[in-house]
Amino acid sequence: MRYEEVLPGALRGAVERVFPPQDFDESIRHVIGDWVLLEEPTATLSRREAEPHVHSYLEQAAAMGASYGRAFALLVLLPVTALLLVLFFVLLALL
Amino acid sequence: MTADIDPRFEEAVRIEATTKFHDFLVRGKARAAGATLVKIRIVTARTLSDPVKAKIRESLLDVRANHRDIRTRVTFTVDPAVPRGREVRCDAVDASREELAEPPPEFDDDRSELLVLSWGALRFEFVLSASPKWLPFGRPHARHDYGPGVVLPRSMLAVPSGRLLDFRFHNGELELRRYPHGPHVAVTVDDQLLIVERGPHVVGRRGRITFTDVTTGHGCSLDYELQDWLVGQPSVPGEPDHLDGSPHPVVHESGRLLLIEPPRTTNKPEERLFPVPSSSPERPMRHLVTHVLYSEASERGRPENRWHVKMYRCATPQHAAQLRRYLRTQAVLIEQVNASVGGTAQAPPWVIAPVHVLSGRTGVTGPQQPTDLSIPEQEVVSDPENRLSAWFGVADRPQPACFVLVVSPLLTPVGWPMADMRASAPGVEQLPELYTLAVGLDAMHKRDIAHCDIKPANVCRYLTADNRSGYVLIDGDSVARATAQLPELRFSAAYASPEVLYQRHRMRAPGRERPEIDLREHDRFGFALVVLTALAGEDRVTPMLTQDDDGRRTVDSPDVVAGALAAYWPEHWRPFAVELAAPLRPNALGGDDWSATRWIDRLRSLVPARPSSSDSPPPEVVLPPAGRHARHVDEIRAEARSELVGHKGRVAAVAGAVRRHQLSVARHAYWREIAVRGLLPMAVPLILLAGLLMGR
Repeated sequence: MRYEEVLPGALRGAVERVFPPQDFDESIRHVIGDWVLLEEPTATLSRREAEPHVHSYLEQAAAMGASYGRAFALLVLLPVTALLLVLFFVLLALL
Repeated sequence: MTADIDPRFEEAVRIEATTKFHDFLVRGKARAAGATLVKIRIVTARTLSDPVKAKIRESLLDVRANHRDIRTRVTFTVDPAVPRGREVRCDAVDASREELAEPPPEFDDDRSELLVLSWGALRFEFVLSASPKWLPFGRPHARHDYGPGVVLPRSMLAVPSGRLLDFRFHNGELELRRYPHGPHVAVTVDDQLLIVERGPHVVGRRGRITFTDVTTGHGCSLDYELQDWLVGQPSVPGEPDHLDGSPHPVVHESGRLLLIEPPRTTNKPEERLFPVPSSSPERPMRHLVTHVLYSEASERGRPENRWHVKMYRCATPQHAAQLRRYLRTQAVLIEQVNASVGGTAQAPPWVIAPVHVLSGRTGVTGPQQPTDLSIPEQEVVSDPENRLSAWFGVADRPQPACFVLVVSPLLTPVGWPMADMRASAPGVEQLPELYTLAVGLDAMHKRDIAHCDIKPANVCRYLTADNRSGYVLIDGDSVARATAQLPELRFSAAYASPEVLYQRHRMRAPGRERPEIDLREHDRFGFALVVLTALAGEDRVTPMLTQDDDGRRTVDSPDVVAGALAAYWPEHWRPFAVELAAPLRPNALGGDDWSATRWIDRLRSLVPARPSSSDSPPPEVVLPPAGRHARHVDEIRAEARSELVGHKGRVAAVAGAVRRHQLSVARHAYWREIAVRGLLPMAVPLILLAGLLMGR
C-alpha cells in the first residue's frame, strides 16, 4: 500500500498544479504507453523520448518544493536567526 | 499375368497418382458445388500387384481426406505402349446419387459406447459403434496382427488366442455370439454358456465373460462394462516408468528395424488435438485428443542413422486407426511438397522434413508363448510389447494398438544467433539459406498446402549429398489445406498472424460462424518472424512476441519494430530495416501477390554495396542524461508495469506514479532548502549563545 506524502498545504497545491494530465498530452501518450509496455531492447526508442518528459515533471515538482522551502527559510527561520544573534550580542554586552 | 516386382516403379506410380490427383483437386476446388465424382485412371506398362494397388488406393483416399465433397473411383489398366511406363488421368464426371453415396464412417463418437474390459487392475477400452456389423473379439496369434475389432494384446496370455467371440452394439443393446473357433474353450457370459449354433445373446451393460479350458479345467474371467462415451480422450497418465531402459523395437516401412530410446525423464506426455471428420452435419469436424511423447531412435546395425520419433497415445485402437489415417494424409501432402523442390522421402532438398507413419508392427521377437490362463497381471504389464504403456505412465492399460508412431529424420536445429552477433549489421550471410526456405514456402502454398506452425524453433538445417545446405521446416503434423476453418488448426499463439488471433478471439463469441481463413498469410507471418530472428538476433525478437494483458505484441506495431531495427544498425542499413519490418504491416501478406522469394530478393538488393566488414559499430544509442531524478524515473516505470492494467490504463498508471513521485521529490527539495538556508544559519547564533552561557 502506498502512502501519501505529507506536505504543507500551500506546497501541495503548488505541486498539484504541475501534475501531469491523467492521460498525458496527445503527442506523448503513445510513447508513454510504449515506454511501459516494451521490453529492452525495443524500448530504447521510447525511453529516449519518454524519460526526459517524465523527468521534466519531477524537475518542476522539485523546483516548487525548493521555492517553498526557500521562502519558509527566508520568512521564518532567518528572522529567528537574526533575533538570536541580537540576543547573543545583548548578553555579551551585559555580562 | 504375373506382377513384376519393382518397388521403385511401384513407388513412382503411387507418387504420380497422388500428385496428379492432388493437383486436380487444387485446380478444381473453385468449381466444386456439392459432391463430385472423380474417376482416376492409372495406366501402367506392367501389371501392379494387388497389395500395391491397395496401397495406391489408400494413398489416394488419404489425399481425398481433406476434400469432403469429392468421391473417387480408381481403375487400373495395363498398356505396354504407355509413355514412361505410366500415366494417370483424373476426370470429374456426372454421377448418379448411388455412385456419390459415401460409405458410413468407421465409427462415430456421437453414437458410440465405450466397451471396457477389466482383468484385475488392467483395463482394455474399445469404441463400440451402434451398428448391425459384428466385431471380432479375441487375442491375435502374432504380435503385429492387430486388426479391427475388440482385440486384446498378444501379451494377454490369460485369454485363449484366436477369435472366440463377436460383439456388437445394436438397437441399443449389447449382443454377443460365439465364433466357431477353439472348441476346447467353453465361453460363458454371466454364467450362461455360449453355443455356436445359437443366435446372438443379448447381455446387460455389465457382466462377466469366462473362458474355461475344458481339458484342464483352468479358467479366466474378464469383466465387461458398457459406458457412456462422453469425451474421446485418453485417460490421465500416471508416473512414467522406463522399466529397464531398453529401447522399443519397431519395424519401419522399408523393413529396417528402429530402436526407439526411452524418452527423457523430463519429457512428460503433452496433450495434442487433431481435427478429424465426423458424420454430424452440424459439426463436420471434431477433435481427436491424443497424448504425445518425443524420443529418438536409431537403426539396428546402422546406429549413425538417427530418427526423431513422435509417439501418440489415443483413447482406443479405433481412434489410433483414425489418427494414423490423418497423419498418413499429412505425410502424403508433405511428400508432394518436397517433390516439388526435387526432394524425395529419403533425400533432401526438403520443404518440410518427411514423416513416416509406422504401421504399428513391433520388432519384438521371441518364441511364441502359449496361452496361460493363470498368468499374473505383472507379467502382462512387463511384457516388452507393453513398453510404450509404461513410458506413458499407463501400465494398467496395456494396449499396443492405441499407439501411433511417427518418425522423421533427426535434423540439426539451426541455433539462431543472439543480438551481440548482429550488433554492427544484420546477419545477411543467412539470406541464401533463408531463400531455400522461401522457395519451399512458395511451392507449398502453390500446391494449396500450409504448414500452419512456422516459427524459429521449427526450422532445422539439412545437408544434401553434394554438401549444399538449406533450411527445412519440421513438426509437420499441423500441415493442412491452405484454406481451413480455425478450429481445425493447431498453432503457436505467439507466432500466429494477427488475422488468426483475431479470428480466434472472434470465434469464442457464441453463435459466431466459423469462416475459412487463408492460412498462407499465417505461414508467411511465421516465416517473416523466422527471417527477423535470423537477421536481427533471437533475443531481440523473442520479447517482441510476448503478449501483454490486452493480448498485444510488439510485432503487431510495425512502426515500433521498424524504428527499433533502424536503431540497431548504422544509418546505411535503414532501407533494409524498413523492408525487413514491411511484412508486419496490416494486410501486407495476404492474397496471391506476396511471395517469400521476392521478399528475400528485395532484402538482398538492399544490402549495402560496402562489405559488412567495413561497418563501424553503430553509434551508441543516446539515452537521456540520467538526471538527478533517474531513480524516480526507473521506479515510475517499474510501478506502472507492476499494475495489471490494460493499454489505456497503463498511461494513467504512469500519471499516477509520476504524481506520487512528484510529491516525494517536492518534499525532499522543500526540506533541503529549509535545512541549507534556514537551519544551518540558525545554528551559528545558537552555538554562540550556548558557548556564552556555558562560559559564564
